[in-house]
Amino acid sequence: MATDITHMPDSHAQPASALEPDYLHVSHGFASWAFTLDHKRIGIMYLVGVMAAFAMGGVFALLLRTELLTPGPGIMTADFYNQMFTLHGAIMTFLFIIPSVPGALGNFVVPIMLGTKDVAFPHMNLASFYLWVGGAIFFVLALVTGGLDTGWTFYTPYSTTTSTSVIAATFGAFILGFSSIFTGLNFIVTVHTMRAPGMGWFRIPLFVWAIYATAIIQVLATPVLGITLLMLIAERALGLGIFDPKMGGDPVLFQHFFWFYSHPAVYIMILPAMGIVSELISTYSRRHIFGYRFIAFSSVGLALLGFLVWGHHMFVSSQSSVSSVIFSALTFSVAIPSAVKVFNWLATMYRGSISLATPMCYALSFLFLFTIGGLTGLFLGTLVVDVPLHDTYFVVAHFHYVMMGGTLIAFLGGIFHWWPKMTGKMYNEFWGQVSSVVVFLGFNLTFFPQFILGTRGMPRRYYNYVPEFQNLHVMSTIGAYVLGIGLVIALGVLIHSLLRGKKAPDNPWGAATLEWQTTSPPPLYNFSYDPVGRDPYALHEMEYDASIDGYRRNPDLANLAPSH
Amino acid sequence: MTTVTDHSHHGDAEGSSGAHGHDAHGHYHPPYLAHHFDTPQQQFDAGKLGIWIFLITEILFFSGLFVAYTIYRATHPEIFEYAHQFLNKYLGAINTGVLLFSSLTMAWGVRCAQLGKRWGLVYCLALTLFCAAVFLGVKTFEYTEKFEKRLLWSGAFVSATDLGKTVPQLLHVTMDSDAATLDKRVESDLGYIMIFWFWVLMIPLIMTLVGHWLNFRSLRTTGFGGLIGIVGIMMGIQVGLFIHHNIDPHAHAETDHIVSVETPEGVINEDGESDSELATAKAEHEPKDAHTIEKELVEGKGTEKEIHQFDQREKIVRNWSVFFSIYYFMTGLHAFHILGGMLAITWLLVRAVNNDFNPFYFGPVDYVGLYWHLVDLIWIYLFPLLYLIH
Repeated sequence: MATDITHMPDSHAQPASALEPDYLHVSHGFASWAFTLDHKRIGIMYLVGVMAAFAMGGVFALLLRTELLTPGPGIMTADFYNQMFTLHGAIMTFLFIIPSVPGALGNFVVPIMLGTKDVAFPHMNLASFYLWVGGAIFFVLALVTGGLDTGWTFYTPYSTTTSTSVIAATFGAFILGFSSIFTGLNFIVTVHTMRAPGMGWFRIPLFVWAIYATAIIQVLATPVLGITLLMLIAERALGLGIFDPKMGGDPVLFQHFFWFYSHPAVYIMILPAMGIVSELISTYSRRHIFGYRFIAFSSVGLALLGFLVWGHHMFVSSQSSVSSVIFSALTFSVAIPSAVKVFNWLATMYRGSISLATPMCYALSFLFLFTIGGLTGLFLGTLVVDVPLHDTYFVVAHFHYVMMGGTLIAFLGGIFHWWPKMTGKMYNEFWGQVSSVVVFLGFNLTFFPQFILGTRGMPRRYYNYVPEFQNLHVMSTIGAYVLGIGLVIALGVLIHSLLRGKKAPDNPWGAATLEWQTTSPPPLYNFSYDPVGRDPYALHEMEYDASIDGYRRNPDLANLAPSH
Repeated sequence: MTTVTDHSHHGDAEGSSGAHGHDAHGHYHPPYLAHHFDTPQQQFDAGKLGIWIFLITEILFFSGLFVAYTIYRATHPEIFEYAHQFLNKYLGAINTGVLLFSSLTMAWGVRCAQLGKRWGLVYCLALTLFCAAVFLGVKTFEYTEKFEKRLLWSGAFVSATDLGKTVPQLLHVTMDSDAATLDKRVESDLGYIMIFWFWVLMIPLIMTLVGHWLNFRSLRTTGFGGLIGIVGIMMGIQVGLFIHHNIDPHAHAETDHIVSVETPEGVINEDGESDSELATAKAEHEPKDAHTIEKELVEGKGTEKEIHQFDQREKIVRNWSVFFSIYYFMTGLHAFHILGGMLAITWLLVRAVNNDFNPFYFGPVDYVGLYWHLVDLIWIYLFPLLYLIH
């Protein structure tokens, strides 16, 4: 892949040190952030926003786990419990995971990785953020005007008859859908039309491939959710009858519509995380990524296959058994591109010089947890196994292993990886590593017992349980607190870095992607020179320079080491 | 779409890029070129790809409704066959023609923009805006007429939460309706709507005049766009009334049948009972009017047959109104898109009058044009699916 590197001009290999103010200091004041069109500032605003949403959803989760310490009534009533798990799910899904990586890290990193000044449509990018804020406001409105107790899936007919604020919440989700579409549309166009000279399709970093594949899903699936939620709102407010069996309608149609979006949406959640991990594994193993094209195409493959399997959420609805068999078979196909990725990551690490820096610790956690989450997904995709496991804690544990063990862990790894670039500050490595270990242990302690609970028949979303389940529930709750402590440590490390961190070099990790070939933090238009696309994984060209405690690109090394 | 490798060729001053800083890249940046693009071609390509992707999302947005339509029609074909006759296919056809014509003027406008014909573009956009408004005017007539005939979505008759209490309510809303009374009510409603628009017309009129006096061209053009829109809507309403009075789609069909829709017999007919049964039912029940039957039912005095028929009727009314649920949802969402298009076209109109476009920069006209064709295309599907089915 790195064969034609040598003819590229090397004169701009490193930028001159801060000739112009970085994007954080180029302008000041509230308005300079609120009306910014700079993708980096929008990314930072997204980061703050999604972290706030995550904190809210996380507090709800801890309340739920505290309630489940004992069977029977604990700290809350059953109705309040229903609202808590619904809001936990809805906030984590719509306000946190879906916008997290594309909105925060993607916005910050993708244009720099492509060597361009901004995304294709900066106004739309800002609009996307404010739509996110609008959606968040509607969720808070739902919270204060009667709560929400439908589960994040809004299944009819309960959602059309319950007395809670379904309309406010679904309208919030509708708005968030447009936020997501705007982000996705922007990235597709940016990747197609805004790449730097020399940045061919197979020189764009794998994180960008992942974001691109995600964007395809965002653009193709989200509109269907939008119209579904509009129909639900109309059904509830006016009485359309389309989902109401009493008027000849079909409530299962709602489930089909919902999962037609929401299954691809789980790939909106996991694909960007996989992209982060591709960057981390290669960088911290100091090895060229193994199987670049396989990883790239498996991202797109996952995005497309993800559209064909929604029916596996509906094995116990009134879906015909023929459909169920077909959906079950198609579900297994999704395992192939996922396994391709895991294989390539392992092969990248093989004989690499692995550094257990904080981001790599998170990446390794991801590998472990995602593999468990993925394999248990196969259990659930198997028709006969799913029927008894459906709606049990096994499902809860499975998707938390994928969504939290996968996406959240990779998101944290990505934050630690790009933190020096975003803020220009280094963080405390030791406490960063501690946070990753505590999070890893707490996570497994929380969710592994839930697999066992599920196989023993503990149904999800239940307020009460038989006393035999208490030991496992107590383990899970203690794990949740440990996990919470780990996350607080991670937050503390980042805040400490902001206040006391030492100045970051341009390229502290020796990564070869373009965002590390500019200053930390970057200037307003990202580069003080005209960037040129090169092999993003030519790590052997990066040479450590003790005087700056960072890496520089040394063109002389281009032909010395093998690129694979 | 140009490929990315072209960019290095576009950079006309690449050789002197030793200069640092974003403003010193050496590219010539004309005023219409946004700062983050290198060349007008790149900007145009990005916009074009963006609008196509946006149109894909629009198609998928509507696709949910088309699927809902398909499924409900597959499970309840009789309701569609029955209910579609309440849609006036002549009005639908006129609207189709109006939209098709507006697509032509829009495409013509894009051509004018490409050729740098400023006033040609202005006229084409104004015509497109006018057609869009006429479309909405005709729709206003249709909605008003259906509102008075109580041809509404299901929830207007039965709420999802209180089924079973509704027989008297159903009777009530469909009771005293003969064609002449209904027409009078429709005309009176439309009279109020016309008065409303007449007064709203003052806003763009004032904008136009103020813009003219202050020589504030954008304000003047915006006001002018508003005038076109409102006058178009008012004319559309008149077109609807004219067609309604002069070309009755049911003139040669059984006129009685239309009215009898509102009576129990007509409804039961559509439930699939045999003709002979219907005939007997009709004969038995002709003497009693709806009021009497309702009263008896409420007092619990109805015969078993009557109760059965009213139950059937409740079911059918409930179900056929799902057709109107779908009708209102689809055409309503489409009308919102027409409104959005009118705003976009007004924006273009202002910019066209301000001479913002030239053969090197006409992207926005092209993008709005594509959007407008899609809105047109969706109607091309809605018209046969809703108005012409048999």
